[in-house]
Amino acid sequence: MITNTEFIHSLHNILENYPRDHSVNSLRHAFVLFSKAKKFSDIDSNTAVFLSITAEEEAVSSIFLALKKLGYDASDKINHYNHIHKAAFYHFCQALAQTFHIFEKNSPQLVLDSEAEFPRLYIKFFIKNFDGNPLVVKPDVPFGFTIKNEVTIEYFEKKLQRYFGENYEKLVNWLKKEANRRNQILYASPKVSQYSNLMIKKNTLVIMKINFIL
Amino acid sequence: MYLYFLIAPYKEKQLFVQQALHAFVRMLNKVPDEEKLMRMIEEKGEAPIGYNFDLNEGKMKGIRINNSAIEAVEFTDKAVSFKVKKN
Repeated sequence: MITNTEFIHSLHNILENYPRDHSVNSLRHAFVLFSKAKKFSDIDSNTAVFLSITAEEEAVSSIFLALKKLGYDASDKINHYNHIHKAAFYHFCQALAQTFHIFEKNSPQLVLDSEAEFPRLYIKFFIKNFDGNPLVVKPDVPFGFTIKNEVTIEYFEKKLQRYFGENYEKLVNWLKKEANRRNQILYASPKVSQYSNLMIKKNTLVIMKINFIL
Repeated sequence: MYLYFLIAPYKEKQLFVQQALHAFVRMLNKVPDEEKLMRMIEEKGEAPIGYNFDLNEGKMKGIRINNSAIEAVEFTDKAVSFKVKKN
């Protein structure tokens, strides 16, 4: 049984053999920054948090750049230099993750396809056929399915509203504050000094988040 | 990282990713081309194979097949694979 950490490690190794482009380079750099952040976590927590946030942003940039490269519609409206866009992505993923809870009973699994020109992931899940016997379902591409009547544009919208609650209407202002986290760690404010415990506690939170992104 | 590997290596555009991107763009207070997205969703309705799963029961309820697009059907102990003619 392969553990999650081993799986991520194997994906990291695969990434080294991928053809280099801006997107791949950003993700590789995210790993470098995250590795440095872990080394600093016991020495200088503020530096560790700063590096973690930068790693998180690089990981998000790699996804933005991949979407642009593949020519997805509206990908021109996201900017990998914009800190607000990047800060929003993690929270968007958390809201979106609720959509996939409907697959829980079908034991979805991520599987590595090493026969492709460059190894890639796909999703498989289990379903019972008409006789009640188990079947493995593997969509042609990882998200190559639609769920009628439930997952619509409005459905995503509702998930986001539920996730952000009363903050949804003030989302952009809230995201600006999120994007400003790095400065909060570097500079003192009228209420807290740079080295306050408040900031140090953020370390764990950010490390957890970057683990999710990577 | 999972997301990267589920999106970047695939040349095929995925409707689910497209829907998510439109929702994300709207979250940033930008306006994507909704009509374009609706056209993509309608086109997906013409897919050669449609499965009907009840996710509450975890059970298959039906399959709709446009047989002109099926090149081969492979049965194994635990899986049924449909190979679709590529355009």
